[in-house]
Parts: sequence; C-alpha cells; structure tokens
Amino acid sequence: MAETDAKMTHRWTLGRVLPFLMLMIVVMDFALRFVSLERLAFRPNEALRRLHVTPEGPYEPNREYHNDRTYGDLAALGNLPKRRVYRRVDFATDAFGFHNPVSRVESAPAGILLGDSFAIGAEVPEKKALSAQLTELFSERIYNAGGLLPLDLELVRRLAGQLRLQRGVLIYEFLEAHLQERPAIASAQPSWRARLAVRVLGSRGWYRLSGLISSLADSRLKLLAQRLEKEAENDRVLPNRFAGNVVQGRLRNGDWMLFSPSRIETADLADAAVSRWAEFFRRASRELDRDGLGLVVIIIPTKFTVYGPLLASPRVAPVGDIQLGQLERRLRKSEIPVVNVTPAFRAAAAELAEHHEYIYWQDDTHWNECGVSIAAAEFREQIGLQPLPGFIGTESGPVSGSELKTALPSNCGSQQTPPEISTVRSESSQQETLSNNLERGILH
Amino acid sequence: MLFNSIPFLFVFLPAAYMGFWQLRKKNHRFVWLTLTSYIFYGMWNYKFCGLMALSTLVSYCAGLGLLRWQEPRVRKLCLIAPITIDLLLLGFFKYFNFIGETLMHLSGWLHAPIHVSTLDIVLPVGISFYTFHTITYVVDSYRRVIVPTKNIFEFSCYVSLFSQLVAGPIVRFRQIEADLDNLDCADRKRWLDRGWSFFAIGMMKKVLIADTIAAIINPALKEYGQLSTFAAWLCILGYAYQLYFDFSGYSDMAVGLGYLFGIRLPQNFNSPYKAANITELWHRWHISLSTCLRDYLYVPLGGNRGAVWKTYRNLIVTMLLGGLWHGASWTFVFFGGYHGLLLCLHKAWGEHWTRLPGIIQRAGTFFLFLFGLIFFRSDSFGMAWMFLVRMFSWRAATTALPGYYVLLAVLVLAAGIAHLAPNTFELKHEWRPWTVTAFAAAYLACFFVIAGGNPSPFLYFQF
Repeated sequence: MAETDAKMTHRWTLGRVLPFLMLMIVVMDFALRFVSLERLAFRPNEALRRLHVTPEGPYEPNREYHNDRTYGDLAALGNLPKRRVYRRVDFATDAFGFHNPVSRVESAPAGILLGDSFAIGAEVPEKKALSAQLTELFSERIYNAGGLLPLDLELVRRLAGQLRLQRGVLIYEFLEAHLQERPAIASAQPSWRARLAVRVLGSRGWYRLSGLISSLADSRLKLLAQRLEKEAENDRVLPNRFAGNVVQGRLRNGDWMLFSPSRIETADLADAAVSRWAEFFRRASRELDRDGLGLVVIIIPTKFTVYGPLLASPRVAPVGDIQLGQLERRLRKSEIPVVNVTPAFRAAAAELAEHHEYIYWQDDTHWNECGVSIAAAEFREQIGLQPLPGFIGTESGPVSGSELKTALPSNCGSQQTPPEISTVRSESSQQETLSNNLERGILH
Repeated sequence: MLFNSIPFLFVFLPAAYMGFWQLRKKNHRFVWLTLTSYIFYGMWNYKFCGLMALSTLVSYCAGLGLLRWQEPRVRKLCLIAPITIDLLLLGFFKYFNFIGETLMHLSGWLHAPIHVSTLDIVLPVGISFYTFHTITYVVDSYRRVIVPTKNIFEFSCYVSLFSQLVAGPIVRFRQIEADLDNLDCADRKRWLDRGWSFFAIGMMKKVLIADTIAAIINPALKEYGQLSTFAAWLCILGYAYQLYFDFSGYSDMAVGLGYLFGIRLPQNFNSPYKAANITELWHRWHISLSTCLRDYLYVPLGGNRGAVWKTYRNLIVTMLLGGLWHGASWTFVFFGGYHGLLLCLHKAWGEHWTRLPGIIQRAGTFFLFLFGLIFFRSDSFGMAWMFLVRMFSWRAATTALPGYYVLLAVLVLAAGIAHLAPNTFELKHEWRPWTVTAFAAAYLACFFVIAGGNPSPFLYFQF
C-alpha cells in the first residue's frame, strides 16, 4: 500500500498533472469546435451563421432554427436576464442562405429586398418579415436578401440571375445607424488563394473546407466559459460589468426600454454623411438601372430616434429624424423613390405607448412585427403613387389610415414582462445601472 | 502578452519551453530565450523592441569598456554614459509630460504662466524594470562586484528574459549569473515540479483572488464619491489585498517560469503584511526594488553613515524617488514621501514601537500602509481627499455593494493567507496527490475565468 502511495506521489506531481491538464484542455477545445453553434446560441444570428464562403446569404443554406425562448440582443449585451422578453422564433433559410421560407419551386420574384438585420427579420415571425409583408401587400414576391451588405453590384446581378429576375425592383433597407458609416459599392473579387483553391478542390470542396476552417474559429469552451462568467456577474455574486453595454431608459408611461449606446450618440458631420449617402444612392441607382433594377430606398430610424422623444426626461434630443428627412429630400430631388418611415413610426410609437404597446422590442435593437407592419403599410402608401419598373404593385392605390390600422397585427400588445419580472424595477442593481446612466447624462 | 492569457498559456509557453529544451548549447539557449522574449515583448508594441535593444547594447558596451579599461576617468565615463542614456530614455517616456505639466502649474501659481506642449507619448511596458536591470549591471560592473560578461547573447538574455521583463522582479546580474553560466547543464526535471507549483500558486493568487476583488471594487471605486463609510473601508482593504496578491502572484509566476527554464529568480515578497513595523515591511515588500533603492541610491547618498538628519534626508529622498519610480504623478511622490517619513519616525522612536504587543505592531503597520495606499490608488489628490472623507466621516449605505458577500469572503481568505499562512518561498512544494488534485481543479477554474473574460493586466505593468 505504502509502495502504491509512493508511486502515486511520484507520478501525480504538478510538473506532470498541470501540463497534462493543459493538453486535455486543448484536445477538448478542439473536439468541441465540431459541436454545432446552435446548441449554444439564443437566436438565429449565431446559430445559423454562415460558415462557408459562398458569396450569397449570411446564413447556412437550407437550415431551420426553432427556439421557444429567444430574447433580445440588448438584454444579452447588457447581461440583463430580468429584462429579457422571451418569445418564440422559427427561422428558415433558403438555398442561398437568406432568410426565406424553405425553398420550393417558385416563379421569379418582382423584387429583391436588400438590407441589414432589419431586413433579415430574425426577430419577427417568418411570415411577418418585411419581405413577406411586402409580398402580401403587393401580391408579388419580394425576395428577402437581407444581409447582403455592403452593396455589391456583382453579387446582386448574380443573385438576380439565379432568381431569374430580369426586370424588377431592388428595395434597399437603410437604417439610420448606417449614416455613421462610409458608403461603398463593393465588388466581389475572390482572392488569388480562393481562386486557386476553387480550381484545385472545385467550388463545393472549397466551400466545405472553408466551412470546416471557419467552424473551428470559435472556441465552444470559451463560449461556455463566457456563459458561466455572465451567470456569475449578476450583481449579487459579482457586479455586472456588461450593464454598461446598454442604456436603460424609462418611458413616460413608466415602462422600461433598452437602447444601444452607440445608437444614441449623434453622428458628427451629419450633413456630410447625408451627402455621401445621397451620392451613393444616385450612383447605385444608375448602375442598377442598367441591369433592369429600379432602386427604392426605405429609410428606417433607430430605436432611439423613435422612442427618444417618449422618454420621461431625455437629456439627449434625438436628431435622427432631421438627418433622415434630409436624406429623404435629397433622394427625392434625385428622383430616387424613397420611403421614410420615421414620421409614421414616431406617431405610431407615441400612440401605442399609451397602451403599453411597442413597435420595437423593448429588449432588442430591432423592430417587432408591429413595426414591420407599419413600415410595409407606409411603403405601400408612399410607393403606390410612384411608377416603378416591372413593379406590378403600383397598380394598387395608396393605403388609407384605416387600412394601416388593419395592417397591424392583432397581437401588437404589451411586451411588458410578467409581474415577477416587472418587479426588477425596485431592485437595487438595476436601479443603480439606471441611475449611473442618469449621472452620465445620457438618459433620464 | 499576459501570463494569464490563453495565447501565453497554450501557444507561447509550450513553444518557448519545448524549443528551449530541444537546444543543447548554451549560446543557442541564450539566443532562443532572447528571441522568444522579444516576441513576448513585441506582442504589446513591437516598435519598443528597438528601445530595449538599444538599452541592452549600450550597457553591454559599457560592460566591455569596464572590463577593458582600468583608468578611473574612463571607467567613470563607462558608468555615467549608459546610465545617462537609460535615464534619459526613462525620463522622456515616463516623465516628460509630467514635468511639462508640473512646470505649467508652477508657473501659473507664480503668475508667470508658461506653456509647455505635451506629447502623445506611449509608455513602453516594463521600461522601469529593464532600465533598472541595465543600470544595476553597469553599476555592479563599475564597482567590480561582478565581472561583466563578454557574451552578448548572455547579456541580452539577462535583460530581456520574458519571465521578469515587464514587472520584475528586478533581478541583478549577479543573482542569476551562475544559472546563466550553467544554462547548458540545466536539468529539465530538477525544477519542473517546483516551477509549476510556483506558477500555479501565482496564477491562483492573481486570477482567483486579486481579479475577483478587482471585479467588485473597481466599479465601486469609479464612483468613489458615492461610497458609504463601510464601502470605502471595504474598497481600500480590498485594494490592499488586490495589490499584494496581484503583484506577488505575478512574481510567483515569474519565479515559476524561471524554474521551468533552469533559472532561479530571487524572492520578491516575503509576507509583507506580517511585518511588525514599517522598516520591516519594506524589507518584505517588493524586495528587489527596495534593495535596489537601498544599494544604488540610499547608500551612495550616504546611507546612515553621517549625522542623524542626513540619514533622515537620505531616507526621504530615496523614498520620494521610489514613489516617483512607480509613476509620473504627485500622488506617487506623496506615497513615497509618506513612507520616507514613517521610516524616519520608526528610526527615531522605533524602540517605543517595539514595546507594543506584537499584534498591535502588526495591525498598526498594516493600517499605516493602508493609509498610504489611498494615495497610491488615487488618480489625484482630490480623489484621495474624497476617499479619506468617506472613510473617516460617517455616511450610511443607501445601496448594497454588488458582490458584497463575495468580497467579504474573499477578503477573509486573502487576509488569512497574507497575515497567517507561509509564503510561496516558505513552502516545500512537495505536494501529496490530493493537494495536486486540488491544485489542478483550481488551475482549471483559473482557465475558465481567463477564457470567460478578458485577461486583466497586472497592476505593476503600469509602473
């Protein structure tokens, strides 16, 4: 027995155990990288993120994602479990990796919707995404190519060709936050390495290989560790250092609303930014015209521009509406069809807030289906008056106010959290974060 | 690159270690260690590698000069020239803006305002440490305490050795000369367990204790004006233990890494919070710095050889400069001056102090040190003053400090280790299997903490 102990003591030393442990961590980490991200994600963006280098959509093609308890990105960013508004998400991607109902043989669409996460519509039911609502309103299929940004004319041409769209409309969803970015028309030129790899492995082989390599980039062990750390940083065990990633505001009706701090900061050189984007759209419109695609821009305000005026006492006045108005005027001047939903959003937000109803998720950067419905109706109302190449929907008349009301989904109701969650208002940690924000002079 | 980061633990360290033990010749090992150390350093900012190389080259040439020439005037030149260059570099990067701003303030008070433009200077990490390495080398060579090395690879390895490059300990050449000379004969297995033991203990001190305390007190200290009296005391107590576990943890990791490469680095902390008086505390706290200040500043100034007032003057000057070494801020100077004054008081009335019960002496010393830390931690005198007001005037708590119970638990653990437990150098590092298993579990926990968040830099990197 003593001999066994001595042997054990001899072998079980730190100089052996710790390097072995590190080796095991490396092996385990590598093995876990083959586990699908879906198991660790709370929303489609991470779960179905594209892992290969196909030039089309942002997601894995022909995949589905279902989750009964998805929640908003801001609640996740701020690590605020008590601010989560749980909902169900059913998300499907088509053969190109875009968010469209599962592929079936379909005729050529009348148009393509291009844009960022608002156009993708991962936060709304499948049939309530902007493209789906526009399809319904105009009885013509609008293909959702959300995520295909920055605008790449070559990719648009290729996609239009694949969709057999020869003449139609390209709806560009422009979010206010993009004013802070420099516009650019990109051009898909694969690197010499990619070209060589495609030549050697064939395109399918190359996609598979690059997909495998991309899938290894994220350490699942690290994700797990981050999740554990977030669990501990709950303001009881440890202070929540993520709380500063979001701003918690209080509306005049007493409800809370989360905002992204980056969307509150006003952009410098707003005029210059508006000019740059107006010029960009002029150029894009000319280029797209040559391909038989008519450009329509739909301008979407950020959450702060919509709900900033409804805050109990805002310290920073939202100025997004002014800038978006300028952009709208410039585009109209250039005869580019444009829909600015900002005034409609503000009016609807003010009206619905009285009934504790919202057009953006309280815990998310994005709109909900009410917001999308208003945007679609506003689109119909404004675009219905303008002639567009190959756009059959122009035959319909403008939408009246009553039609807009009926366009709203019936469950546009309160997103207020259940009573036990609402009580978080009185909890010190949340209050503290709020008061910190007050002191920082961002919001009241 | 930080010791407590994934790239260091899983890429740099294994590569450096395996490469090192694959080589057999001494010079190859010197070159390998130098190369890996420059890569390690270059991960912060590769542009500063040139600065370190310059400092190394100048001191190496001075060493050769001191070896060759015996005339006192030439030897003096070989002493003064490299020290001047080193101090000019240090002065420019660390103190240029500080001096400029101080001059502007001073001229404003004297109603003769002058404008000194400040520069956008990035402080090279570890410059205070490797500058001291080279200065101690040149001075020791001049004093003939060591024979300067002719081997540039050995010297550059000594200056840049990654384990002690960015935050010490400030190793003198003579302290590792023997190990460097025998680097080709080093036995990989001899110090393996000891090295890992030091490294793991240091990691636990840093990641599990210091960083946990920091995670709770740092958000509170950002809002120091809102602190209650109790929270203010908790924060400063927390900072005292954070500083100790952070820096001694780093030192333990450095020593452990040294062992892994066959180089024994000296002890930097000897349970300073067990000190019974302030003089003893400075014999135990950041030993490599305090002995450097003693041997290269206090003693040349005259030490305690002259009149009593001269001893006090020398103590104050040494500690003021020691404070300034920590950073270009008047709060650090105050911290140094405060400790200089305490050392003088202890010299004058130390015998009265020793008549007090042991526990009172220890507690008193700790709280005197704690008081100085208020200035050490504060960004300005305004912050220090506000902190003192919060500590010494009653203000009830309106909200609980987030993580309050965890902070209390960690403070109790930290206090137990710091005040009662043997320090890392007092341990035998011969562990039974169950202790090894516990170490492995704690090390795994460290890994999860590191992987889950951004690795937090060591406090002494900023100095």
